[in-house]
Amino acid sequence: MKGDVKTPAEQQTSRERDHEVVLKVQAGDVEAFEALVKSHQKRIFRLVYTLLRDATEADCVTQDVFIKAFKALKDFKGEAAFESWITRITINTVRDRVRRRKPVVSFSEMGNADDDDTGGLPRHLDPADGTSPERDAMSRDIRRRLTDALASLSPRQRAVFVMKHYEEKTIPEIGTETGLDEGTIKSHLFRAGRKLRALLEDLR
Amino acid sequence: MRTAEARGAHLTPEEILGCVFPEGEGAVPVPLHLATCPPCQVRVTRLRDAHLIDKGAVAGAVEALPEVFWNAQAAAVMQAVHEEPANNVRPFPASLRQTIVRRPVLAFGSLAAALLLMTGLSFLRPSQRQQVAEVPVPTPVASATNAHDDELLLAIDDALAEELPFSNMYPEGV
Ligand SMILES: [Zn+2]
Repeated sequence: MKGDVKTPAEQQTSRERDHEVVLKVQAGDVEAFEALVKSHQKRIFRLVYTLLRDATEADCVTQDVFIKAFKALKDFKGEAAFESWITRITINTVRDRVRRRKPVVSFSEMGNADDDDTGGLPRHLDPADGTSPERDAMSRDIRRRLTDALASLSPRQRAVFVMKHYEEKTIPEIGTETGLDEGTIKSHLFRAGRKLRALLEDLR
Repeated sequence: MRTAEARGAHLTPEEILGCVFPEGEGAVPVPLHLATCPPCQVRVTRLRDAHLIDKGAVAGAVEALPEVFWNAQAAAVMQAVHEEPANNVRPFPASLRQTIVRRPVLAFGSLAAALLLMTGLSFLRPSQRQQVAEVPVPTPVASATNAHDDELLLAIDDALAEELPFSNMYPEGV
């Protein structure tokens, strides 16, 4: 999942590049903002999509995030990396979005869960490929239940869980990007684990 | 609390989850029982497979989105950003969403671009596509290919509406 893993040197370079662009935008060069969008849109979209599992909604939220970032950029001091700052905006935007909704449809009702469990993934990239059909079917059933269980988590629990187990972030990285302290993150992970355990009780 | 292992029983759901989704960082201690119990190995493997399938599916679906999708998204953001100071508009008016889906193709005006976009559209919920299709078409950007592209896209929308990929995947409950 971490397709955009960067070395520390690359992180530093992209951070500096972001910072330069931020300064340009702050100085009134609106067009420069597009470079920030292009650098971060895929990562932001993927995070939102992992959390919401709806591409249209993820598209809207991603745009919303960048527009919010643009509006708030005048107050951005550059103390944190732009990447962390915009991730925090993303988590908050998703949380607000989720809070405005009532539970109606679960992840298990995803069309692709029935038809093409790879979610658009080319077959050769499907991690279940090469195993027995029975094992595939079983894993897919568990996947459906797993995504249902994820949907039952609170927005913050889900964000922390997804960042750790899907985005493969460390707890300090999650802390930087969510603004939560380590204890709170661990508490969210613990609660998420308890909920998942209850929902996957019969895995025993 | 005694672990299932200490009691001589199979791993508990908590322990199985702990093997796949460890709460802490770094190397995870694997219960000794797991090394000698095929049924528990199967349970851990199934959950791990399920997680990998889900993770891979999400990443793969995002990677599969065509460049026109990202360009259109960036263009929509920039459009909203440019409109923002003057009009103080809220992001994502219906007409903008229409633009997100349709304008990139107008820029290309080719079947190839439409086919690329189709990949992107297949990512969208049918109900959303319907919603998009019902939005009044904004004044089009002057282009000799607009009418043709719109017809083409309507045909694509119709075709996709019959396929119903990703139907109802919208997690209203989150
Ligand atoms: Zn066992």
